[in-house]
Amino acid sequence: MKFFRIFDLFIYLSVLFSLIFGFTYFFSMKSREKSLKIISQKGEFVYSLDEKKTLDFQVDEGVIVVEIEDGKARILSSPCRDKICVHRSWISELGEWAACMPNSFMILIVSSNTDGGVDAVSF
Amino acid sequence: MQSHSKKELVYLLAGSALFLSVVEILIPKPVPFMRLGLANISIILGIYLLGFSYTFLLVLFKTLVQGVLSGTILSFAFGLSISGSLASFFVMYLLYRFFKERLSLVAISCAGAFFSNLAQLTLSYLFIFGKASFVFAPLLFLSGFVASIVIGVFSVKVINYLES
Repeated sequence: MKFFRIFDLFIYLSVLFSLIFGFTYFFSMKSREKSLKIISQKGEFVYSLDEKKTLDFQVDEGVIVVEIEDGKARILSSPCRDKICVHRSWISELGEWAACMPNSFMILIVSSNTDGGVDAVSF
Repeated sequence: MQSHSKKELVYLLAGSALFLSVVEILIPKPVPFMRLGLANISIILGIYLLGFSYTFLLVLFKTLVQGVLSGTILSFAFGLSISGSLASFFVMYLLYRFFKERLSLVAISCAGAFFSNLAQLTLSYLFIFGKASFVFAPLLFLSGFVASIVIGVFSVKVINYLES
């Protein structure tokens, strides 16, 4: 019984090629698009993180300015007393957030594709 | 080898599958589902020595034993395990049946590992983890490729020893 026959190459190459092809295909699909969700007293809004822009929101004490740039966002200025939301600075990763409690205002990064899934499974 | 009947060989191979499954539990897994698949040596020997029906029983036996020993028999992991085992068995049997003059058992083992991983990835994508299945998949396929070649070389060595 031999360890190697010439047709083995066919199996090895087809396995390796299908692996390379399959995984480059799957990982070239963008699966984790992020977007910015803004929760205020007037309701919830979702913005794309791709384009650069500055948003003004009217809240109880005045105006909150949210800045979006290069896939990240921050609260640029807020009329509240402690400025905790402003000091939170840039948020860019999924689940990160900044909130201004006195004005019931919050920004957070959410996933754009809505299909949920299992967070953790024990086995 | 002539001294053994097929029935005796099934017992021998089932016993060795049981033993190898126990040995495999001792080996730490860096990533869940990343296994060496030592018990597949018995399956490959079975395909070579016994033919379809006995080896099919052997595959079911091996999967059950692994489920009981690792404690996963009532969890979804057992579904993945049995689908992977059956897929790899059918692929290896068909390849051996039709191409045994052309292919070595090492390549057949490699194809079996590939289809085992493919079946498990498909099921896990469809029913359990969704897109998260693809996080580990390249690692599992590559380690499966290497492990299957090791397993195949082992099997060929055993066969050479038996027939010398």
